[in-house]
Amino acid sequence: MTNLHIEKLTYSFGPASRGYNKSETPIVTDINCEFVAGQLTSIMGPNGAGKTTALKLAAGLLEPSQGYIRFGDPTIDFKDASVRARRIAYLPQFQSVVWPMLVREVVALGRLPHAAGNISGMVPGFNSLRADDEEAINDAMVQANILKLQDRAIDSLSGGEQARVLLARALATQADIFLLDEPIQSLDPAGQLEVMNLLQGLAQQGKAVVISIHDMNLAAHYSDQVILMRAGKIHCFGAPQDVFTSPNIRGVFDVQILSAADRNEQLIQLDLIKD
Amino acid sequence: MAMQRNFNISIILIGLLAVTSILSLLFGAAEISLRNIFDWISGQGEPMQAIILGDIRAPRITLAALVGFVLGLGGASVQGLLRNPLAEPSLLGASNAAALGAVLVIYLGLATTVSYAVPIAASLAALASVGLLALFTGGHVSSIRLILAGFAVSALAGAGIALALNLSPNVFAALEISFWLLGAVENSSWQHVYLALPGCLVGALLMLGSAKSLNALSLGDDVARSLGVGVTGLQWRISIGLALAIGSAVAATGVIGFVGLVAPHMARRLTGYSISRSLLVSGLLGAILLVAGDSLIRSLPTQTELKLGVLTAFLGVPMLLYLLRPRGSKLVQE
Repeated sequence: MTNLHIEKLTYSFGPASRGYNKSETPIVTDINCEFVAGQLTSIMGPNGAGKTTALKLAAGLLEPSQGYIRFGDPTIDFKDASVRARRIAYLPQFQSVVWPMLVREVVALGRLPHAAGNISGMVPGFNSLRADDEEAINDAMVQANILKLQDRAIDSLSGGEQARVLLARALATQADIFLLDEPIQSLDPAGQLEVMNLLQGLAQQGKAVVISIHDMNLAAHYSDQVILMRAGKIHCFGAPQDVFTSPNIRGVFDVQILSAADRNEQLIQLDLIKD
Repeated sequence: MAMQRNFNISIILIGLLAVTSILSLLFGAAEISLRNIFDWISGQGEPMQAIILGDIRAPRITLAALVGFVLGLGGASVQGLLRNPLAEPSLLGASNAAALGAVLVIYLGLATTVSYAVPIAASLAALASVGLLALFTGGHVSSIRLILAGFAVSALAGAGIALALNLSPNVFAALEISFWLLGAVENSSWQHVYLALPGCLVGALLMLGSAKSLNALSLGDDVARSLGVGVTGLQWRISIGLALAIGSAVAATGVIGFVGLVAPHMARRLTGYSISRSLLVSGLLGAILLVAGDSLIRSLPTQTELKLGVLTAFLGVPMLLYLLRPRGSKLVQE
C-alpha cells in the first residue's frame, strides 16, 4: 500500500510538449495534495471545478503542464504505465461498454494489468486467467453485489447495476489506489449507501480511495478527508468537520446552510436497513 | 465454461474449413471424384488429374482460405479497434490503396513483365496509406477521427483508380483493370499464394497479438489506458497489420467485399462479444465463406466464370440484412 503525492500540479489544454501556455486558462492550477493509504478522500466542488481533470491527472491519463505526481514509495515509478496500471484503478464518470459483453467478462478486464501478455489472448479458449485472477474477479463481484448478474449481458442491466459492474471491474485490479469519478451518481439511495460502505471498507483495508462526489451528507459521513475545489484550485482540504463550514460552503458552492446549528434536523440522514 | 466452449468452436471451425476445402476440390469443369482425390493425395492419381487438383484447384482454394481468413480477422480487429460494428477491413483505406498500387502496375503494363510487380506495388501502396493516415491524424486520435481519415485515404485512392481507368490507353487495359478490381481467385497459382503469405501472416500476427488490448478498448480509451494499454500503439499495430494483410490479399485477388463485414458478426453469434475471442473465429468463418463461395462459383454452369467479389457481395448483403432483422440478436449495445 502506498500514498499518492500530487505536487504543484497545473494542467491546461494542449500537448505537454508545447509547455504551459500562459494565454490559455489552466483547468487546474497549482494543486498540492496527498491521497493517503487507508483513507477515503472526497473531492468536491461545483461543475467545472476541475475534479475530473484532477483525477485523470492523478491516474496518469493526462500529462501535466507543470508539477508532478509520485507514489509515496519512491521505488515505485509513476511514469511506468504498466506499474501504474497495477497500482491505480481508475473509474471514469461517464462510461459505457460498447459491446454487450457478459458481466463476468467486463469484470475480468480488470485483471489485464496482471496478465502475462497478449499472446495468451490470441487463442480463444486458452484460459489466461490464473487461479488468483479468478479469485479477484469473484471477490470483486461479491463486494459489488453483482454475483447473481455474472452471466447477464451488461446492456440488459439497469443503470445502477451497470455502474456496479464497472465498479467491480475497478475492484478486480486489486490496486492500492482507487480514483473513482462520481461512483454513486447513477445509484438509488440504497445503492449509494452500499457503495459508500464498500469504499469505506476498501479504505479500511489500507487502500487510498479517492472519489468525486456531490452529496455533502454522504461525503461528511464517510470521508476521512475532503478536498473542496473551485475554478481549478483547491479551496481548502481537511477532515469533513473542518471543511464543511458555512464560509467554505458559501465560498465554493454559492449556496448557504440555512441553520448550521441544528443541521441534523434539516438534513435527512439515511442508513441501510440491517436485517 | 465459456472458455472451453470457445476452444471447441475454434476446433470445429478448423475441421469445417478442412472438410470444405477438400470437398471444394470436387467442384469445377473437369469431373473429379473423391476417389480421384484420395489417389492424388496418396500419389497414385493420373497425371492430368494431379495437375488439375495440385496446380489449379488446390492453390486457388488455399488462396481463398488465406484471403478469407485475413478479411474475417481484419474485420473483427477493425471493429474492435473502432468500437464500431459497421467497420470493415477496407475502412482505413488499405484495400483501395492496395488496389490503386496494383492498378497502376497493370496500367503501366508492368504486370505481364514482372510477376512480383502487382503484389509488391499493392503492399507498398497499402503501407503508404497507413503513412497517409498518420499524416492526417497525427498520433493518437479518437476512433471517429480515424474513421474519417481512413475514409479520406480510401476516397483518394478510389479517385486514383478512377483516374487510371479514365486515362487508360486502350479499352483492353481498362477492361483488365475493371475485371481485376472485381476480385477473383481464378487462375491463381501457388506463386500467388507464396506472394500473399508473408504479408498475411505478419499482419494476422499483429492483429491476433493485440487481442487483449482490443478487449480493454471496449471500456473506452481512458479505461484501456488506465489498464496499461498503449492505445496509440494499438491503433498503429492494427492499422499496419491490416495494411500488410489486406494489401497482400488484395494484391493476390483484387477487392473482395462484405466477408470482412459479415464474418465478425457471425463470429460474435458464436463467441459472444469479447473481441479477443471473436478474432480467430471470425478469421476461420471468413476462410470457410470464401472457400464455399469459390466452390459455388466453380459449380455454377455460367458461360463466364463469376468473380468471387461479385458473389460475396450478392451473398453478403442478404446475410447482413438477416443479421440486422428487427428481431435478430443485437449487433452492438444500443
